[in-house]
Amino acid sequence: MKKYILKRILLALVTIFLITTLTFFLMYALPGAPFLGDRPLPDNVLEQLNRQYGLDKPIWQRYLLYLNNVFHGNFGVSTVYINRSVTSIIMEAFPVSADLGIRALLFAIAGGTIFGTISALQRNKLADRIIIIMVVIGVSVPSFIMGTFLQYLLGMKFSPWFMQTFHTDYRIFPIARWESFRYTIIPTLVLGLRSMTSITRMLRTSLLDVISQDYIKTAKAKGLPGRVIVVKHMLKNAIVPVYTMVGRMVGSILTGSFIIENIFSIPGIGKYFINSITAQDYQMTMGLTLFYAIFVVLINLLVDLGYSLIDPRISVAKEI
Amino acid sequence: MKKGFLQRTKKFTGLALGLAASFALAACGSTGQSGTGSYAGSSSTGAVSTNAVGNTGTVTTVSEKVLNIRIDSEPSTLDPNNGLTDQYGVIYSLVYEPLCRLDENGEAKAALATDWTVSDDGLTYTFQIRDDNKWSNGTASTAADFEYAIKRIAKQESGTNWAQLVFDIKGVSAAYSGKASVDDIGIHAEGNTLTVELESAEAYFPRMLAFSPYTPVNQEYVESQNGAFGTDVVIGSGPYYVESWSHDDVVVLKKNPYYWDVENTEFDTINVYVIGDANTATNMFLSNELDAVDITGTQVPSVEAAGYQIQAYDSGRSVYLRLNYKNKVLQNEKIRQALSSAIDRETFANNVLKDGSVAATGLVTNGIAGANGKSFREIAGNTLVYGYDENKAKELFAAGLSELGIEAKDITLNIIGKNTFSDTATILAALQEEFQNTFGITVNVENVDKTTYSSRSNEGDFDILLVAWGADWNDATTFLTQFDNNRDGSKPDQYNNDEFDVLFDKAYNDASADALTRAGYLVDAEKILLEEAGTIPIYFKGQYHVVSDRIEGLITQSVIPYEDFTQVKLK
Repeated sequence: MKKYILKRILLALVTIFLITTLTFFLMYALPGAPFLGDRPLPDNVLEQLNRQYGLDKPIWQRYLLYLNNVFHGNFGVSTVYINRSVTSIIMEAFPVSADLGIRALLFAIAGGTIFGTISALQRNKLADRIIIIMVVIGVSVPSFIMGTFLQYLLGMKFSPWFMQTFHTDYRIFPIARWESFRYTIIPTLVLGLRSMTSITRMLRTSLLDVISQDYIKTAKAKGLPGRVIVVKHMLKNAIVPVYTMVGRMVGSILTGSFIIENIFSIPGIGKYFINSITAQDYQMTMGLTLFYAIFVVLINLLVDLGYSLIDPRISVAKEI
Repeated sequence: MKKGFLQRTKKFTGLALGLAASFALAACGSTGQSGTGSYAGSSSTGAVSTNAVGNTGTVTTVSEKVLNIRIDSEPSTLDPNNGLTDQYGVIYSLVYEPLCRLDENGEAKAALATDWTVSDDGLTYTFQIRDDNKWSNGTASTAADFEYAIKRIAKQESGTNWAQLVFDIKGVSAAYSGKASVDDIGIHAEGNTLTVELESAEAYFPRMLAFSPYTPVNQEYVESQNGAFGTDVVIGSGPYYVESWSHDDVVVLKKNPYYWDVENTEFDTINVYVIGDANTATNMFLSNELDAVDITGTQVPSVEAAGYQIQAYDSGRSVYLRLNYKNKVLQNEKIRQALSSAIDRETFANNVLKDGSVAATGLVTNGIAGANGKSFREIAGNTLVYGYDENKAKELFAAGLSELGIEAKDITLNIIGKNTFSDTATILAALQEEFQNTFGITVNVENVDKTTYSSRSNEGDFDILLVAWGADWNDATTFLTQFDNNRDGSKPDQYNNDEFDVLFDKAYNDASADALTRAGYLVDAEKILLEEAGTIPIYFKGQYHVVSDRIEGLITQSVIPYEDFTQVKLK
C-alpha cells in the first residue's frame, strides 16, 4: 500500500510538471499581452510595466524563473489585482467555492440516493416516471437558466410575498451574495441539481442491474426484511459506479462555477478561471492551473484509495 | 410472493427517504458551521446591509444612514494612482479628495484646492490648498500629498497603466523614463500653496485633476503599508474611508470624521457591492437592496413596470469607425464620405439599441464640457457633414470608384469589433448589411476578443476598426488627440492632416486664447476631420440608470466616476 501511494505521488508530480509546462507555453502563445488596452501605451510606460512583471525577459528565462518560484512556493502576483499575490487570492476565494461545492455535493448525493432508489424500486411506476422527467429536466436545463429562474421565482416573487403575508422584514431567499445559510440555498440547489440527476440516473441503472442478481433472490428467499435487502445487498453493491462518478464530480464542483458565482454574486474562485485568461493575467492563470491540477490529482488519489473501503474486492494496490 | 415483495419495497422506499433525508440534514448542519467560519470576515457587513434593507422598508427607525451601491467588478486596487480606473472610480471619488472635482456641467470646482490662478503663459497653476482637511487617521491632508503622489508615479513606485496621464506635468515623463531626476518635476508645495508647471498650456488641467491618477495620497501611510498599499483597507481624505474590503464581495465605506465638509457628509456607511451580473443587480435594486443601478435597454420594461423613472446620461463613450489609411480604397476621400453617409444612425440608436444612446452629431459626445458653462457639442453644433443620406452615399461611392478605376465587386472590407463591448455584434451586423446593400461591396465582420483586437489594432491589421472610445478627461481633446500627429507621434495607418494638427496644437499652446476661442480651435479641428470623413462617428453611447426614491442629488458625468455620490442625500 505504501509503495502504491508513493508511486501515485511520483506519477502525480510528473503530471503536474507536464501540465505546468504545457500551460505556460500555451498561455504565452496566445495573441496579445496583458497591458494592451484600448489606448496604446507610451513606450516607456509599457517597458516599465513589462519589466515590473518580468515580461521583458526571453520566454525560456521566464519559464525557469517560474519553475524556481513555484518550487519555493511563490506563485507570483496578479497583473490585474495589483500587488496581490496569486496565493492570497486563491486562499480567499477557494474556501467559498469549496463551501458551496460541499453543500451542493451533499445535496446531490442525498437527493440522488433517494430518487435513484425510489426510481429503481418503483420501476416503470408513476414515481419512476416522475423522477425520470425530473432527471431529464435537470440534465438538460443549463445552470444559467435554472439560476435566473429560481432567483426570479424564489427571490423576486416568493420572498416579497412571504414578507407581505407575514408582515416581516425577513427575506427568506435573498437575490444574491454570500452571507448566511439562507443566502446559500438557491445556489446550492442550482449547482447540485445536475449532479443530483446524474447520480439518480446512475444509481437507478446500477440498482436495476443488482436487483436481478441471484443473491437478491437468495436474500428474499431467506426471508430477510426488505430494508436489509435494500441497504445491505442492493445499495452496497450498486454504489461502486456511483462512487466513481461522485469522485469525478468533486474536482469540478468544489472549484466553483463561473455562471453560478456570477448570477449569485458569490466571491468564489470559479470566475477567476475564465477572467484570468481573458485578461491575460499570466501568473494568475498559471497559479490557478497548478492549483486545479494538484487538487484534482489529490482527489483522484483519495477516490482510488477509497475504493477498497467501499468494496474490499477491489484492491487498487495490485492494479498498478 | 410477488405481491408481498412489492409491498415490502414500498416500505423500503419510505425508509430510504427517511435515511437520506436525515443524512442530508446532518450534512447541512455540519457544513453550515464550517461555512460561517470561511466568510466570517463579512459577517459584520451582513449586519449592516440587513440594517439598510430595514431602512428602505420602514424608514428612519434605524439611526444609522446607509447607502447601498454597486460596482460591476472587483477593484484592481484601492491605490488611486495605480488603478486601472473603471467603474470602481466611484470608490476613489468617495474616499479620496482630489484638488478639484467636477460639477453638474463637468466644470472644475473647488475640493482640496479652494482656489487657483493660472499664469499668463498658461503653463503655471497656483493652487490654494485648504488647511482644514485631514485624513481619516487624523493626519493633515496637505499640498505635499499631491507632490508625493505624482513623484511616486514618476519614480515608478506605482506601476500604473495610467502614468502617461500625469505626463502633462513638466518633467514627469523625463523622470519616469530615467532621463531626469524627480527633483526637476514642476511641482512645488509650500505650506498651503501648491505650484504646478505644465508641459503645455493645458486649459483643462483643473478638470483633469478630478481624475484618479492625480489624487493626492499620504506618504507616511503609503510607506507604512510596505508596498501593499491599496490591496486592503485604506484611509481616506475624502468624505469616507474604507473600513473593510471583503474581496469580490463588498467594500464598506465609513464617514471620515476629519473631512472638511463633514457636516454635509450624509451617510454613516456606504456599502459598495461587487455585483458582476447586470440582471442580478437590477433584481437587487427592485428588492430595495441597492439604491442606484445602471440598467440595460432590455431591463427597461420590468423596471418601469415597478414604478421607477428611468434616466439616461451620456456615458462619454463615442462609438465610431477608425479607418486604415494604408488601405487604397479607404484612402479615397469620396469612398470614406460615402461610407459615412450610408449609416442610418438615428434608426440604430433609437430603434435597435434603445438604451439611451443617441445618433452621433460629431465625434465628441454630448456630455463633454466646452466653455462658459456650455458643452462642447452646444458650441460646435452638428459637425457630422456626411450624415445619413442613401442617395448621396451612392453618388459619392460611384464617384470614388471612378477615381480609383475599380468596380464595387472588387472591394472587400474587413470590419473588426471587440466582443467585450456589448453592442459589437449588433452594430457589426447593421454595418455589414448597410454597406453591402448600399454599395454592392463585400463586407466581412469579425467580433474578436479583447487581446486579439488590441494586437490587431496596434499592428494595423484591419480595414475598419469599430471603436468605443471612453473619455478620460472632460475635454474634447480626449477624443481628438488620437487624430493628432504632433503630440502623440505619427501612426502610419491613421489619419494625418496638417491643418488639424495646427488647430490641435493651438488648443494646447495658445495661452492667450480665452475659453471660447480655444473651444473654437477644437470645433474647427473636428469639422476638418469629419469633412473629409477621416473617421466615421456612429453614436454616443448612453447609459440608463435608476435611483431609489429615498435618495436625491446624484450627479452623473461623462467621465470616471460617471456617478458622483458625494452630494447624495436622503430625501
